Amino acid sequence: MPSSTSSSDALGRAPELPWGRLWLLGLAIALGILGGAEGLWRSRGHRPVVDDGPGLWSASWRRVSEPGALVLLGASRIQVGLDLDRIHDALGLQPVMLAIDASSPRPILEALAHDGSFHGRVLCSVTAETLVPGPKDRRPADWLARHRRAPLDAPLNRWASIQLQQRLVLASYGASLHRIVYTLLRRGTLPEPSYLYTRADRERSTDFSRVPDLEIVRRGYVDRLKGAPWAWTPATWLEATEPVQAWAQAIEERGGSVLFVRLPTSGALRALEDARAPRDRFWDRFAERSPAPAVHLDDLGGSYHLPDDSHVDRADRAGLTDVVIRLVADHLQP
Amino acid sequence: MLFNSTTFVLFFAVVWLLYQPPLAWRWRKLLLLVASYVFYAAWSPPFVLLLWISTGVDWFVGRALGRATGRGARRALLGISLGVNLGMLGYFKYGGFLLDNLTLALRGLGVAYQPPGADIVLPVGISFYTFQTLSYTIEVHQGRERPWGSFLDFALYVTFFPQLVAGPIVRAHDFLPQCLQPRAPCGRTLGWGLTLFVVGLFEKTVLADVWLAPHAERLFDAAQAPDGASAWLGALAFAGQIYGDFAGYSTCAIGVAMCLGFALPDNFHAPYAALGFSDFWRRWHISLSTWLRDYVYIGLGGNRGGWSATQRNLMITMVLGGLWHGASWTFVVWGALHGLLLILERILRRALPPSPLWSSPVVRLYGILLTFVAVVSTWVFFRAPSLSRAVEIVAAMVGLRSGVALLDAADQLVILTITAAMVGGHLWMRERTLEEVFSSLRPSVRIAVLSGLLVAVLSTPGVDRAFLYFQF
Repeated sequence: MPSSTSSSDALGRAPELPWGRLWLLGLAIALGILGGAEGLWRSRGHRPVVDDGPGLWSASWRRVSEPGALVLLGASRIQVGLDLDRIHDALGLQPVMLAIDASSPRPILEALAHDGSFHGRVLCSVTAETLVPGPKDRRPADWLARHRRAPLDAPLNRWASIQLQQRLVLASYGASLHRIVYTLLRRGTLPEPSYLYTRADRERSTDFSRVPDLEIVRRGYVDRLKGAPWAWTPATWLEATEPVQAWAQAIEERGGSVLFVRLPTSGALRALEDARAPRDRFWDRFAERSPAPAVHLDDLGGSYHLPDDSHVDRADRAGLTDVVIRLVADHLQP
Repeated sequence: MLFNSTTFVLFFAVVWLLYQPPLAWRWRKLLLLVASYVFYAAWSPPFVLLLWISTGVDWFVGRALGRATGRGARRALLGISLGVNLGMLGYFKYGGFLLDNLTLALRGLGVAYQPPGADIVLPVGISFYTFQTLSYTIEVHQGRERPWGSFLDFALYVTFFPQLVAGPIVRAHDFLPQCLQPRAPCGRTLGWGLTLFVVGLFEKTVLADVWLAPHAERLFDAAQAPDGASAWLGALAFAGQIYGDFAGYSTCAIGVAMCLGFALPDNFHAPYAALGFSDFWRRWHISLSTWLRDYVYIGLGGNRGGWSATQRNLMITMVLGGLWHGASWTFVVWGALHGLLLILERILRRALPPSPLWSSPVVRLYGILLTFVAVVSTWVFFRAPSLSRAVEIVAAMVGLRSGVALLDAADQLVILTITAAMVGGHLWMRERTLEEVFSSLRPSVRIAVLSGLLVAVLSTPGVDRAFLYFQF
């Protein structure tokens, strides 16, 4: 007989200990520690937050074909910029937030275009950078792949996780030991409540008063954009946007509707965006060619307070949402 | 259904409760079998069909082997089992890889061939259950095992949910005899089984997923070339991640099985305290390394054909072991590197004169650390998304190339602390078992350890990461 790893004595090796008492005491102490930590975090101003990620995104994706769905694509600007309840109240539509932080909507729009059963409404927030292939395609492609590979029991697990995170500070990453250690190592303090608040429907809101130094955040956006490769000429760029136009057309040909929007930015970030992709040679040419309407929010007037140059403050969210509500009513199928 | 999921906790609680009433043993085994199919179907119900094929074919081949006497007939029967199991594995796991390489080879010859998109989905755990069921037919073919009389027992052996999708790869002679008598879990096995389950969850969800995986991802998935420090630290983070992930799964599996009164074999034993590469493979994924030794290495002739043939057999075995992990050249190189290291170790053992120096603690510690560093270096090929990325990282590790710092001071401190604790822990556990260590603790320390593990597991938010070995 080959000498495989015998398991015959594994049960016999189980220690003879007072297991009932050990587990009862162990559980009681653990629950006591967790309860104390929950109270401590709440006393420091933390509140339950749902962690955004591929699982939560997947739950939204499952709703894209529901009647009355308004699919929202893009990145953090649309995710923090819109008040979903306000959209629902004004239009009677069910917003489905599929925007993914720091990424491009291209892979998701492509997936919707290739889904022959989808013929709904899509509001797609884009920039010159996210209309063409690039590294920002990676995360949405990965989340979509994860969704497709997800086991059948994933929705139940997600539901349980959301229920916990909506009720307990400790159930989200913001209060985890990992975050505590890293905040202590990097800043020498305990974690402060996050300036970002995510709901179970993936709506996010920002409270910039909690950001200690906004200038660092602004510089970070500019530095990241500077570091992103950009070798497009207006002609090559426009050619590279053709798949996006084709996906929009495919959805419209099936009876759906798509609206591209360029949300506002300001300050040094906007200056850099305009220098890399001047509006008249990039956005305007895309808008002329696009089979779906493409609206630059600069054209609609209005001014928004963007504390970090990229995202609206929660105080201005209603104003931006109202503009978007009018756009949806004007351009997307009733 | 992942061990670290709400559905598994609910599923297991229901199965465990239904398993308790004193029904006939046959009905309780049937319950475990049905539960195992439900567990597997949670990933993808159609793939249960593959389990049935594997179970059915090997059951009938085993029975037929018991009756067949002619050498030719016995070989043909073994061929059927090998053909079906390796055929399924080949199609689902290696089909795309073979097609890609064929396309490249034809392109090299000037033939423009574009195969249709295969888009084959890998059934979870197929590498584990095909190897497990194959071991049964090989044993029966070689006369070391008699065909088992109960189909229910055999189906449960192939499908038993605690180890179905990521091992340990259990041998028939370890599992099937346990099906003869009713398994009666007692307070001792339930208490220790649950403790092992929590230890496994800690290794997986806390250490691997939250503390180490993001650092490994930052190195391996970055677009930029790393500097030397980032390359080493990212590789160390992956060494910890792969250990926490896989040993964590095995520990959970052993614990869950124990709660049901079944014993599964150990799969890891302090691998990062291994002294030499032979020792490493006696401690890492033990159920796979013994499978490869018994059925591939010995099947090729083992050490019976002289020195050169032995080294050749070793290399073939390790390359196949590498390929078992995934259909990619990076796994082939990883396996070949381990083959080379094993051969190098054998050469050194022959060349070095016997001396009491080799057993001195300092020299042994030096050997253990050298083994660890070499193993960590090989993990680069295991984890890298491409050969070119692996070469880029290794070049940074040996100072041939420098790039950007991908990990900051806090990351470095965390990785070094966890690595030091892990290697130190493995050194301490080198000659001990977890049971011995836990029993030897004072009662208050035991309670502190258990509550500490529970706090760590319960306060760690779930991360969307499946167990790494599911993809193998």
